[in-house]
Amino acid sequence: MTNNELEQWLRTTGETIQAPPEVCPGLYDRLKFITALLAEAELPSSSPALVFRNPEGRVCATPIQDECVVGRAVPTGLALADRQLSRPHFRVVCRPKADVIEDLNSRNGTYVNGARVQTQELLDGDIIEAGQHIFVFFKQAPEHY
Amino acid sequence: MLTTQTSLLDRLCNSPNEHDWRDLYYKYATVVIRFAEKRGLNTASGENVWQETMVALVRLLPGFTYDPKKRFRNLVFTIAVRAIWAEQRRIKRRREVPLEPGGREDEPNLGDSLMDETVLAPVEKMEADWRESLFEEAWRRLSLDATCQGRTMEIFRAYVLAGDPVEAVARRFGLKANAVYQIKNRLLKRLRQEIEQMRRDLGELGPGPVSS
Repeated sequence: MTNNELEQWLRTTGETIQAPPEVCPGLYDRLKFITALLAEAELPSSSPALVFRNPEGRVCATPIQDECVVGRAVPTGLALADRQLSRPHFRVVCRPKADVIEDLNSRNGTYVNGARVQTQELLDGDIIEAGQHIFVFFKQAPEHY
Repeated sequence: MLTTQTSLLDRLCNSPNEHDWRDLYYKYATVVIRFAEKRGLNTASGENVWQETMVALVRLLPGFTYDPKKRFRNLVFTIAVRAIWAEQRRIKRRREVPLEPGGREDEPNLGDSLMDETVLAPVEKMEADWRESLFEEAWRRLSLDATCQGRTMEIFRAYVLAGDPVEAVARRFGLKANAVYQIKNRLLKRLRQEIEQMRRDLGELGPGPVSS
């Protein structure tokens, strides 16, 4: 682009460009957290997963085939010894079209990126807080870019 | 100090540290969000796009074998476009099947028009939008640069952006016309350097000193 073209572009566009507010408040900190977890986790390549650090400090990755119920006492799914969790606390349902989290009427609530939710579609890298646990939801990785 | 595309990308692929991710994050967040806005999304949706783009990069880059024949910029662009499509599908779904009881009935019906627009958008248009987003971010950064603030920027805005005659600008600021030209050339050079550095970081230009 020549100086004249750059000048022309600025003349037509420059004054309309607004300085955006702080970019995605909180997202950078979430990414730092995710990066640290990923450094220790082996993610399943063929399914979405919930990744979290267990009380011993080890990073665990739980693959989700169709659905995963998380709670203090669940017959199938992810049972965690956490007194702040309800028996069934929340579930993540993964469908080809969308991945959705649903709070199962838990006592202490389910939070996604800091906001309490009842039902919400999940994005890649969303952080779920329930009880004393923090989970990161990862979508299935694309085969290639 | 100027960094090269290779050094940033190499660090992200080999032994990325927090500074490298921060560098990538703050350099390109607004580029991707602006790009998403040009594709019809609002800022909140643009932030979702940026989250998914960054998470994909965080997952992909460590240990990634970079093909020098391909451009890093193409990878970021592809991930961002996919994230935009995903966000557009989410908006469409929310219109069709609200996830929350009684929720979102008041939202404008963005889904159909967004999807149609995306499907029909030619690659050239998306490329142009991306380039424009990069330019806008470079200009925004230059506008915020302390060395370009105050009188210098006022003169540049009056002459280049507002298109006032050089004599009028020179008279208003008590300068000779030549000084106004010099300010224009200096800031245009700085803007080109900003653009080139951003393109270099994304592998669009080869490593090396920034040309004037």
